[in-house]
Amino acid sequence: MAATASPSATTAPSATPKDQKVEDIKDRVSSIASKAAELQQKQQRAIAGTVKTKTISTLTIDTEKKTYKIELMDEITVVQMLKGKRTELTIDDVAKDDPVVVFGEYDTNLDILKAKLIVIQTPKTLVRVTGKITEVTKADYTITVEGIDGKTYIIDFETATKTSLWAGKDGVQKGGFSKLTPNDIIYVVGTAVAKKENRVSALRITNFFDLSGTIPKPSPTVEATSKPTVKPTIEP
Amino acid sequence: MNKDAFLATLIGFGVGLLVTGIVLFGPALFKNVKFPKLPTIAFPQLGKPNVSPTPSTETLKDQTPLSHSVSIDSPLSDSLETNEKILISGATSAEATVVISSDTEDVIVLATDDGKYAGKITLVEGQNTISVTAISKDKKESSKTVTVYYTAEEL
Repeated sequence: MAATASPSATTAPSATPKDQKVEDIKDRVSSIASKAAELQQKQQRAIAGTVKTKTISTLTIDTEKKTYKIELMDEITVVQMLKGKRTELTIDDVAKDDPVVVFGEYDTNLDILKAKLIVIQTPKTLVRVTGKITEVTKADYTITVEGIDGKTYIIDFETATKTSLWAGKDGVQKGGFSKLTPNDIIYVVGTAVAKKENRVSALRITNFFDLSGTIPKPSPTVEATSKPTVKPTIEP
Repeated sequence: MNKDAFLATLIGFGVGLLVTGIVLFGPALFKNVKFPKLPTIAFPQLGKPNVSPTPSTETLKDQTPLSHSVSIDSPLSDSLETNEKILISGATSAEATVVISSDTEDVIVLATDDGKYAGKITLVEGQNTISVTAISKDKKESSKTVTVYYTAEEL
């Protein structure tokens, strides 16, 4: 009896390089999508506000927009600028009503910020005035400024006030109270004087003069010299 | 009656009826029909000067110069910065004097001919409110602020 030929094994259609590439791209797209979703869920973020409540492991912070829940991580760092130095503190130093900036990872799903750094920082309320000098009073070191906003401001020139003179492309030069004259355009950064409307205690003043970017040269002063009049003497 | 003559009369009656219908109801029917607009081709006429159309008041309104303003393109508000020095950039009036002011310093730059400005400012750890004031050549002022957060710590 003749041996029957065994049926040859059917081979599965092998994947072409093109199919392989498509699979690779699909894999990459899905991994990018999952990574993006993960990043969207957890993002590095900072919020500024005041401490409303505090427990061992949580804080609630009131901001202008909403109240945030803060989870205090084990390795949390607390810092504050004290006398111009960055000083490391502990979480025990954070108290209710403290103004803080909290840095951490924000979980959008849980609506919670996992805090890794807390900076105790009092926000500065600075006033900025741009205008033309109308009067300089040397007696009490004040400058009257007609603001571009139409208001009239009295600027207190303090001993700590820094004055800069704008020299256009040459940058900024140091100046002083004597360099401020009527009609100069100045930019003032300072703090509002309590209980006095439109009065500013200046921290920094930049003098732009006439905005041309050139510092005017002081005009030479002519000093009058008195010469003794020679009287003719009559000799006998 | 001859069959052909009857058919001719019938056709004649039908055509007459159709013409009467078109004359009577035609204008009303064509009123509602929208015809596609064909492009008009203007041929230059020799000897006639080119007359430009007078712009409408609407067009003139669009052409009036925009009032002085300033914008901050970078950084974005509430962004988290890891470098102590950051670049503040944006747009304002051409050649305006721009003051970039933080809590601790003022940086002054001049806007370019196309109104672009950029300047580097130093941040402090925590919240930084940066004010940008642009003073135009005709001494008009415009201001904008942006808040950014800075820390060098690894989060």
